[in-house]
Amino acid sequence: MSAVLQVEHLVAGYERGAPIVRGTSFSVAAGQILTLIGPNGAGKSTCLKAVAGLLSCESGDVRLGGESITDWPVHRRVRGGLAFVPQTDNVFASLSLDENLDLGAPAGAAAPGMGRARALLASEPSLKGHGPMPALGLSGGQRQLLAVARALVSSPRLLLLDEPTAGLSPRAVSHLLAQLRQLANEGLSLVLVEQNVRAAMAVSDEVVVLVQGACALTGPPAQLAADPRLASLYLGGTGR
Amino acid sequence: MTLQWLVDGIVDGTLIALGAAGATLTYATLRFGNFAHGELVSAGGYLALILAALVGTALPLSLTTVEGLTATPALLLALVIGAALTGALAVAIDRLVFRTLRQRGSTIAMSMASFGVSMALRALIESTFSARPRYYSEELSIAWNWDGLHLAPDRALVAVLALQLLAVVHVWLKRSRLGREMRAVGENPLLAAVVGLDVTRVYRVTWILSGMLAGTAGVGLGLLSQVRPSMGADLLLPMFAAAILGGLGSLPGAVIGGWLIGCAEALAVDKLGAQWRSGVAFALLVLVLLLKPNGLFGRSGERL
Repeated sequence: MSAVLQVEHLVAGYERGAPIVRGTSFSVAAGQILTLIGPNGAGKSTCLKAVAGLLSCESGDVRLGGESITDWPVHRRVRGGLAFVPQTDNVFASLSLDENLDLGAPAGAAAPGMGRARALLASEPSLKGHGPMPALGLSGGQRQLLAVARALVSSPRLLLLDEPTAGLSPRAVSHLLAQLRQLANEGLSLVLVEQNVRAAMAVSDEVVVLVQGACALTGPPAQLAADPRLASLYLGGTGR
Repeated sequence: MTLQWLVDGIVDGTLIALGAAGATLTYATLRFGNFAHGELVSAGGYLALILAALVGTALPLSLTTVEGLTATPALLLALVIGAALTGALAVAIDRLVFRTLRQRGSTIAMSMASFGVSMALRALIESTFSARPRYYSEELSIAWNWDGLHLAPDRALVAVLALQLLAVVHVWLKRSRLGREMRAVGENPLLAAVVGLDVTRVYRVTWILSGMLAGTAGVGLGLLSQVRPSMGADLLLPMFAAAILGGLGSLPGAVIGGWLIGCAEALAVDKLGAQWRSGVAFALLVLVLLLKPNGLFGRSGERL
């Protein structure tokens, strides 16, 4: 199966010469969910931001559908089929739910994924009738769902989500993860960064454990769950 | 009791609102107070002065159907071109000064730099045109008189055109995709980029619009009084007072704020004397901010 996203020997950080991600490599196939896990400070969110184009890469390569996007600005990556949902401040609070969705579509172009986005929002009954209201009044779970829905409007090939379940109720977590699994089953590729390891591994096809900015372990969730090195990594080991 | 102060306050307030609209737009999208906005007003006034002279030679027509009107078709055409050129000037200043500071994420540095831009532009205008006041027309706009209430045709024209322009800009920003993009960038530029918006383009459009509104205010101000190097600087404090009073980021707020400041100034001049003009307006500003810190129409989290 050809990879939708290939990350090769990625080195990136917030300041040049002080990398947080140190030579990370992984790839994601179509319809696959890959989850980046690891202890605090491992570089998971930094890695996702570098793939999204929010941080410049010092070295390494990021390829989307086989094409190198390492030097592309963020908005060009979005047009190329990549969508990123940040962990916090991921909706425009002063804009209505409908306006948030509209901004997900490219300017002057059709919104190929609007149907799928609307269907995702319809899966949450509490959002019914919220269309013209400011997103300011939405709960954490509703905001997260809106942020994912807006990302779907441009019909991306790859969806990156930074800790999508952080701060959500158990019901909202299971609802959101079930929806993400459904999107993957429809062919979308997803990369998640998660602290909620057990819940994320339950919906993932592949898990990458990052430690100190590098891949320490990679494999299917069932295989990693049985690996004693996983617990050791979370307790401060290096996995070697 | 004469209501002349109300007529004067509404006309002057509308002009203040036109200037305030550009300043509030810049603040709402770029998140900094541009203290060089007054010099964009002056630049618009002087550009129209040059253009009106050029166009007037080629197009020697007058609006003779309205008695007492000194504004000519040449000046109206000069206004349109001058406003567009002021928009281009605003973009050029952003490219030269503000863009680099913005990329470093320093809004306080941008505000401080805008003081420098303000002084440099004023010096440039004064060295080019001298401090001597200029006029678009040597003729007097003879006022209409209704039972002791006076209104010069030029003042009526400026107020009507300014309000129409503000209404068009407001509706456009509310309904257009670009208006939504400006609100989104103002609220969270990083998220706007993540969503796929071309943030640089949104900033550029904001500068053009803000510059055009400032340039138009400059022509209005020049028509009603004089074209002089300090005309924009003198309007700066009333403009910001109106923008803050109405609620930063709100165009209808800028209009109401402009009217309140204009009327407070006119009433102070009428009842207390000209020396109270600025003091009363700012007392009103402080009073409103004490009661409503976000201004009359400003709500936290809501812009434009």
